[in-house]
Amino acid sequence: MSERAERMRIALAWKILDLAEPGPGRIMIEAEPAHLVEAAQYLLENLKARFMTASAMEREKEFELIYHFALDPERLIVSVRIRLLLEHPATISLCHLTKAAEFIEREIHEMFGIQFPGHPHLNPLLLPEDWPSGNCPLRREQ
Amino acid sequence: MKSVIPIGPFHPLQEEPELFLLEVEGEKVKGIEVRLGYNHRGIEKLCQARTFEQDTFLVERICGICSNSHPLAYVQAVEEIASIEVPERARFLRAVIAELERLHSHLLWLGLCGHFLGYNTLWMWAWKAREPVLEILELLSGNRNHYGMMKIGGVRRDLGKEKVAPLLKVLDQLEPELEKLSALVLEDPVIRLRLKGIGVFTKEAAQSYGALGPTARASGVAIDVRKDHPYAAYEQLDFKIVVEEDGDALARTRVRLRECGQSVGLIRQALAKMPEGEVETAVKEIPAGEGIGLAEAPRGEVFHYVRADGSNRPVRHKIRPPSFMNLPTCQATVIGAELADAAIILAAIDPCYCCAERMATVERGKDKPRLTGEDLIRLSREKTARIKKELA
Repeated sequence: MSERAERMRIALAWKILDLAEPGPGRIMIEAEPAHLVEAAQYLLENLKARFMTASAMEREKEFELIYHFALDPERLIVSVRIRLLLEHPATISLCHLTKAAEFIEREIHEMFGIQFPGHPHLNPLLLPEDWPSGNCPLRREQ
Repeated sequence: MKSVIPIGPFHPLQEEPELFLLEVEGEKVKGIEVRLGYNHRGIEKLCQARTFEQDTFLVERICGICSNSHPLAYVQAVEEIASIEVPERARFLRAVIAELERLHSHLLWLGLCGHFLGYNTLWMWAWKAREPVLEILELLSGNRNHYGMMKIGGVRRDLGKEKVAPLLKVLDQLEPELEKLSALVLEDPVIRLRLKGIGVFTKEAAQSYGALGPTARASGVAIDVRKDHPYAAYEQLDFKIVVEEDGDALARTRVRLRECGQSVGLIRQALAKMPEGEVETAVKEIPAGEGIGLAEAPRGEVFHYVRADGSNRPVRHKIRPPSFMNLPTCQATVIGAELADAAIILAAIDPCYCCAERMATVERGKDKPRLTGEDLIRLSREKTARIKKELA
């Protein structure tokens, strides 16, 4: 493991489950949803990372939610992966840390039905206003 | 009394339909709400139903202006999954096409900027300068847009020796044109007054909103994927990130104009340094895994995340274009501005937006249009005329 990855692993310690380097310029962190905000805070405030976006996907038994951060001067992308239950998925919004999270959380909310407590307004972003609630286009059964 | 002015969502000039709801009090903008989705085609879902090879075509059709950036970011994400080494020559060719695209996109924007300000001559000149760029793209790729050049493992067509001379000739002719346009825009006192200090976006705000591309670089944020996460041949090309500090519409214009000149230089460098050899490697199968592909589109960083499970199609394909990050910035730049400046501020972030003619002012509760979109462009032009008179 590279020195910078090791530093990050020590700094985040018990807040993360795993940290791997899948390739040059990439770090993949696995975390519990409860520790997402602390991990994001460390990346955004201590390391001055830039919030790139988040991506969700539905697996057989869970949702995977990956938050991507860029450390541009270090030529590094750090992705933080959390897993949520299929029933009533929810995770704390990152809007209080960065305004950049506002749009993407709205998009994930309408496409997957994941709730983001703490988001100022989870209105539909891309789907029409009269779209039936509970119909999430990127869910498997849809 | 507060009124709400809807801008959009549909207009023939627009590249993407969007709706901006401006809340105004008198001449001042007090609030703004952005609504997206009028052009949502479910491409992420469609990608999951097509093979990796077919997706290259599909993502090229996300946008008609930066049609090269999406497939470029996508093929890089897939190449990361399968650990594919792209031949050196293909890397240089990718950079050539990407820079030609930047040139035509920035010139398109400059023309629209002139149109909004009431300088239709600038519009015509900028688009006249853009035309040879499109023609040379047709010569290189077979198409003026949607070049179909990117491919997992390389590029689809090589650059024949006979095509280098016409390309260099276009660059030679374009350079004085760009200088003329820059002088016209940056030295004209009226355009200066219309853009200077308008829609100011601070460095802190740019970082908080995660702004990208020229929108961020005009506010002193030195980010550029070509430097920060090098791809194609940019590691071997010599250039500096174009940064301006003022954060206003003039700074954004200056960034784009300087980047045009830089692109010409980058294409010349790439042509000079391009080695001979293959332009693609054979790709067998894509193993299970995940990859991230980035490219610096004319509007900023394009982000593609691809997840593979070992089959011949992705199980998840997340696409984040730069306008998705740049659009919310209008909450910081438009509020407090004059109504006459709203069109140029929204246009200055270049959000694939040019819909000022589809506006109507609606008084709350009455639903009667009072101002049409033409009125908003007229307001903008009247302000230009007023400044002209004051300067005379």
